[in-house]
Amino acid sequence: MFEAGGTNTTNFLLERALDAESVRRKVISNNVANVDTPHFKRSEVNFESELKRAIDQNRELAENDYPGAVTDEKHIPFIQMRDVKGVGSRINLDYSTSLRNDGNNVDIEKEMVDAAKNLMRYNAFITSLNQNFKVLKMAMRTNG
Amino acid sequence: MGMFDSFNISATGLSAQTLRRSVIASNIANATTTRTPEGGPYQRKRIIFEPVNIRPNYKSPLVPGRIESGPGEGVRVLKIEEDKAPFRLVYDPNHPDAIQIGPKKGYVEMPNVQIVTEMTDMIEATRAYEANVNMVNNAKAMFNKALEIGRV
Repeated sequence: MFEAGGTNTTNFLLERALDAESVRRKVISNNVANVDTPHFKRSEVNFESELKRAIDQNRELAENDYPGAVTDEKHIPFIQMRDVKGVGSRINLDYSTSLRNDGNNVDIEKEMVDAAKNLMRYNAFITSLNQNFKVLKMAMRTNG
Repeated sequence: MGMFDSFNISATGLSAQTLRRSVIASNIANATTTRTPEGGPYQRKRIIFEPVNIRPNYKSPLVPGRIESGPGEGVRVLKIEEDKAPFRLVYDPNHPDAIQIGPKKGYVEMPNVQIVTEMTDMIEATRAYEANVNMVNNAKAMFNKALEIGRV
C-alpha cells in the first residue's frame, strides 16, 4: 500500500521528513544554547520511530491472517490502519539522565554530531526530492 | 514556529555566552580590587542562565491537545549574582586597606576571584560560543540547500 501511492506519496513523506528535520534543528539549537543552564534537560525529536511504527502497524494489518470479524460499522478492529501521511514528529524531553552536577544533561559532542547528521539527512532528502522532480520532468518531456 | 527560529535560538546562546565572557573579564580585571563603592573588596560575579520556554513543558488530559512541548526558545540570563565565597586573606600590614584591629590585624581582604577558575570558565564559554556559531553555520547550509528544491 505504501508503494502504490507512487511519486506523490514519496514526495509527501520527504516533505514530512524535511519538516521533522527542521524541528530537530530547532531542538538541537535549543539544547546547544542551553549547554550551561543549570537544571536544563535536553529534548529530542522522534520521527523515524513514529513512521516505522505506523508502517509496521499497516504491514501487520496486511499480513494478519485472523482479523477480528467486523460485522458492524461500530466494531473496532484489533489493529487499525494508520495513515502514514499523518505521522508527525514528536518532541521528547530526556529528563531521566543527568550529565553534570548542576542537573544539566546536554552533551555538547553528541549535539554537534546530531547537528551534522541532521544537516546530512536534510541534504539527502532534498537531493532525493529533486531526483523525483527530475524523473517527473523527464516523464513529461518524453513526447517522441 | 517561524522559519528562522533556529537562528534566533542560536543567537540567544551567542549573546548569553558573550555576556558570560564579559562577566569573566570583569572578574579577572578586578582580581586584586580591594575597594568598591559598596565597601569591601570586589566580590566575584557569576552569571545564571535560564531556558526560555513559551510553551508549557508538560502534557496532561486537562490542557488542550494543541499545547504540547515545542522546541524551546533558547536561553536567557536570569541574573548576575555575587559569589558568597569568603575573601582571600593576604598578610600585608602596610596596605592602605589592611584590617587595623581584631584577630585579623595586618591582613588584607582580597577578592574571592580564582584566576584558574576564571580561565577554565572562559574556555568553556568560548567553546559554547563556538558550538552556537557552528549551529548557525549549519542552519545556513540547510536553508541554502532548501532553496535548491525544485531547481532541477
